[in-house]
Amino acid sequence: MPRFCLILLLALVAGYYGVVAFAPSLLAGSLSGWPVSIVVALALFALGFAITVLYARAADVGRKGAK
Amino acid sequence: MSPAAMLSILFVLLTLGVTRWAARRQGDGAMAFFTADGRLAGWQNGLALAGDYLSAAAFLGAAGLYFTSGYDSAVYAVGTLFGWPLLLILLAGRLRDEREYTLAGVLAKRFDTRAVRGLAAASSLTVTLFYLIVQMVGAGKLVALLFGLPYAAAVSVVGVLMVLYAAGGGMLATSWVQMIKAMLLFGCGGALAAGVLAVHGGSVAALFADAAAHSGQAIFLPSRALADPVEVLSLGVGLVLGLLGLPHVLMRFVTVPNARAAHRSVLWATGLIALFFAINMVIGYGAVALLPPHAELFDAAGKLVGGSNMAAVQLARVLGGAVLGGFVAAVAFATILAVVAGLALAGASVVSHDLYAGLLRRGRVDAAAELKLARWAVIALGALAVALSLAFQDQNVAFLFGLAFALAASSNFPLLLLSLFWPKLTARGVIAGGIAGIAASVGLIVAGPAVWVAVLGFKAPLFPYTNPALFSVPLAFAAAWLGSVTDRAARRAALSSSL
Repeated sequence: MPRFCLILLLALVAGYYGVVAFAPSLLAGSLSGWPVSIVVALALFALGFAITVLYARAADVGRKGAK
Repeated sequence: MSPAAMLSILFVLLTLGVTRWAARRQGDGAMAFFTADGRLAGWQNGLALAGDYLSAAAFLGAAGLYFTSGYDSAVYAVGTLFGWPLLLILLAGRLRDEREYTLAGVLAKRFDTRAVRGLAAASSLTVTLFYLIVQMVGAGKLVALLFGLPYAAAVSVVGVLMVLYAAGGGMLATSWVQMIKAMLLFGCGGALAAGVLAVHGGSVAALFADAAAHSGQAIFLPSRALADPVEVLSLGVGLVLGLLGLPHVLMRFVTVPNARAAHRSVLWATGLIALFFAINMVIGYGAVALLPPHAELFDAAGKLVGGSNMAAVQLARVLGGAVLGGFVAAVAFATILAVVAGLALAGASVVSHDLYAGLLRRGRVDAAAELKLARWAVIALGALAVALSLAFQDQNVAFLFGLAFALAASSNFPLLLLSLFWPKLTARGVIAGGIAGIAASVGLIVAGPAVWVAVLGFKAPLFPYTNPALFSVPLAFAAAWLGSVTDRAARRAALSSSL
């Protein structure tokens, strides 16, 4: 689980900065009146938090199991 | 008395009361002073981490960046936020298990040499001091602007209060100041965002349409400042990894009783910071949509009065008059105090724990003497920070912030990560990696546009990028690896111990 969380995290952040750096036009447009770029940023905020929840739970279960 | 001054005085009285209470509850010795006896709950430490991290730059600066450059502020926010889960996965639990509250302390568990301790202490102290100077200079200007005080008086007030919190109540008081400030910040941000949405009929889509009507659709895309792909990638590396080397953040993981609570701390901090960044997005685009019709808020050159950092304060005045404006100003003041108190404590821990107890006395020091020195170190750092803030008041110190983050990412982070995860790291590797990280980050920032052109006045930079992390971080890792694998003395020692 830690490795999965780490890879997912790095893939997300690398993907986002890759898009901003090399293809910012992918962030143009809108979804139900919301700019795509904003939706992407908010989704990344949520995913970043989701990864912390996922990892914290898995790590705590792992530590309990180790005890 | 203005609402801002009244609310700020209330905050100061409340937090000084908390400091007095904390000073009475404080356990004996430097360990208790710097770690709050490890008694904070995960949610408390998470709230304090959020309060520590969400500086005036993260609130007023980020809102101002939405106002001037639109989506760039979100690009910064994403990188900053993603440092937190990475901190959780790589460091939080391990740092708590190490029971060390400084970088030098962690490294010395494996490599207890004067050179390693000295290098780690120098790097941590430099990062903290640069960060502190930027915060103090910003604080002086902001407090002077918000409350009409002369700059020197504003800096002195901030410096004295910082010393009272940190020296008086140690980590326990500082943590509570940061928790109170975080709650105020959320109350203030929530009120502003609610006000912005109320004007737009509760519709976020209507807010974005209004912002686009004033500034065009380009406000939702990266600006020309982020046009260079290498610069963007380097910015991302620096933002994400910088957090993992900030001494005042790292030391907070020893304030909780176990690794589980350390994980909970990051979980809370990440959630709160993500929420605040989302709120700040509404505030920032609210400023884009609602400030332009108010001509009185702009000077003859079309610039916002007081600078773009005042966007949130001006928005508050537009939405809620002097009372909401005063509330935002008071929260900005509280924000500054909470952040500088945490920085002063981190700096004092390096001076008393690493330089005095570790380097000078080689661990042969009684807890009372170290505690006494810790308090004097806070006072000395406070005085130094005020003096440097006065000296730098007319200088462009923005590069110091970049330098602090670049140093943290390029020196502290690689050394910490390798010492925790790579068994083949040697003391020689630590020195090589640390020196390479420091030299590369400092050298490239000085040779880059932020110093070479903006401060020293040359026409073109020697190094084309503002953010050096894309180059300096791999260089530090490579140097640490090379220094370790070519360390014959360490190999001989390992061989003889195995025989």
